[in-house]
Amino acid sequence: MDIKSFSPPFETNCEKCNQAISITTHFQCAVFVCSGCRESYRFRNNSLINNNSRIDTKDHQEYIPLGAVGKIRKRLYKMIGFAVKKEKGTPYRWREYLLFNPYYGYAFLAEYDGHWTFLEQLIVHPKEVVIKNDFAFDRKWFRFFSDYKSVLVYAQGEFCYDVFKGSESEIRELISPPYILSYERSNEEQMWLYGEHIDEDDIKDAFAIKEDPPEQVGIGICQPMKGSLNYTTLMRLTGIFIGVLVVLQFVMTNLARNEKVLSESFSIRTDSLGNMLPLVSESFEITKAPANLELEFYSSVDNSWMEFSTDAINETTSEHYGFTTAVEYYHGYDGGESWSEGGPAASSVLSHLPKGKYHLNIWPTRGDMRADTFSVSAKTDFPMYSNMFAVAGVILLFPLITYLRRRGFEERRWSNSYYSPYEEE
Amino acid sequence: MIVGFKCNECKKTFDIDHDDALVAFCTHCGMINRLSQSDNSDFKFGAPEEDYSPIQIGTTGKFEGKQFQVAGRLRFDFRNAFRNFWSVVVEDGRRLWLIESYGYYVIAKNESLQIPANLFRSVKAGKIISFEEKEWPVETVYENQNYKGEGELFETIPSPFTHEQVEMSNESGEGIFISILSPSNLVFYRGKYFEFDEMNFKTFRTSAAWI
Repeated sequence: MDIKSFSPPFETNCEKCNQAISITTHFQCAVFVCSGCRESYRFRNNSLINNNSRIDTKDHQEYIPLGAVGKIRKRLYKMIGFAVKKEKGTPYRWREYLLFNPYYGYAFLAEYDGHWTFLEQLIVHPKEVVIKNDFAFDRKWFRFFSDYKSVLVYAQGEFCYDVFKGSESEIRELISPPYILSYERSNEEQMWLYGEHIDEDDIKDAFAIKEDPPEQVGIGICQPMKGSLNYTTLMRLTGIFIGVLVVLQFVMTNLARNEKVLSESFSIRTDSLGNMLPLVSESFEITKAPANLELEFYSSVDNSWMEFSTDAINETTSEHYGFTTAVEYYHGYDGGESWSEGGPAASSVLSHLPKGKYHLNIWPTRGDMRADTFSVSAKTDFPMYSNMFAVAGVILLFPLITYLRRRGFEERRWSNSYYSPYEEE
Repeated sequence: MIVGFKCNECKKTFDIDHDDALVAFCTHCGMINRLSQSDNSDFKFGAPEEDYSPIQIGTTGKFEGKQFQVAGRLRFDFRNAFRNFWSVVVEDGRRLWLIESYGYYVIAKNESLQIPANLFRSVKAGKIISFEEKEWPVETVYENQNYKGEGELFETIPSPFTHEQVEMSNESGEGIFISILSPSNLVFYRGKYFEFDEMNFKTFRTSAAWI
């Protein structure tokens, strides 16, 4: 079986300006616009028929030249048509490049303010699952971004559709960056395009263009935030780290000995002037280092307080570890209701103590003379949750910063939309 | 195989590969020859000009694990677009259509479907048709015309020559192409959309520019 080659482009000349015309897609070409004089033609039966539509605007320079061939998403495309369009009733303009591949059909590159989107027509049209402004497709939620009618400003090259008829169609755009769904409908046809943001450098490389692409302004309609994990990955990683932290805490809690090393009661002693004298506890031993030490003071204060300035003294090194603990308990009956505040016990924690023999030097002070006894108990090697919460806080800081950065980014993106979810708030 | 069939138009002879072909286009002048006694349509048309379709007569592919070969085509256009209905012969004997244009491929067959004809009266794109508990949005509504053809076809060409055509598809990638020949006479072609790479095409058209 002989393989029939594709015919070379159809060659002729513009009947208005005599410029050479080359039509790659032959019968697929519906409308051709001469790049010399912008006269437009329909192409049927191997001849050009004047379309009686002419572009009357100045030249608009295309970044990708007509006829350029480049590979995008592993497919070879030829750029065959260039159009500049604007949103009806607004000054917003964008550029569309029509790309052709005989096996995979047509694709579009759209450029607005230096941001590029690569779009292909969907053969499986999405079922509309709409919840408020959200639309489910391809396991993603798309949010309604814009609706408008487009008006042709400029065109050149060949088009597989009537490029002049754009203003009759309503267009809706939904985004789930870096993806976009574009829906276009007229009385005769509806079309879904599925697109993805594409880096300007990828365009430059694909079509081997020497000049730099148009400068970027603002945030693109489906531009992803660079250097940022997506929410799903971020939440998954955060969950994993928090999970590991909880497991570690669980293991450490189970390995802790919870060893009680001191339990002693004291009576307040005063000198002849009534000043309270310091008290010294029994010695106790910390055998594991670094150790934590929790000291709980108990005093049966009643509508009063007692404060303990304490030094834990390492008897080997004479190092002092000072801290102050206050016990206060107030209660009463006011306005028909009982109230209370504080309690008879309070504790302090020392951490990272070296092992060794210790005793406590305690300087008590008190609110009134009624409280004249107190007790101290100490335990070591007990589970501490504060470290876990501190590490968890650091872990959660990353998603929080990412969220704030992303929110700022999204607010800027959605400032171009009439349907911004951020303006409701 | 019919050897030495004499063209009604140019009177030259050509061979027809399939005995069950109902339409054959002359390999010399390209004009249509009707092989069915019951086909009394009288419109004449010939070979299509270049449309950059990658399919050609003799192209093979795979569908449902079975090999098929393209035997002919019918092309019509509408507004500024067109469709190729390629007739294909499947190795299990089935005769199907490969509907193709602009990089889309649908393997379809003529089926009698119980969809009320009045649903398509003044139908517009975007209307949802409910059928077999599925939603079928109407994608395209057009009036087809300007038939061209080549090779062999296994169905007669719908008559009248110019008629309204409606295309609809569902989210599962199924498509139904409806020829509305009269308000009560609808012909349905039902099939499934495929990507080029899924069809495992062989002997398709190419040129150095696309390799």
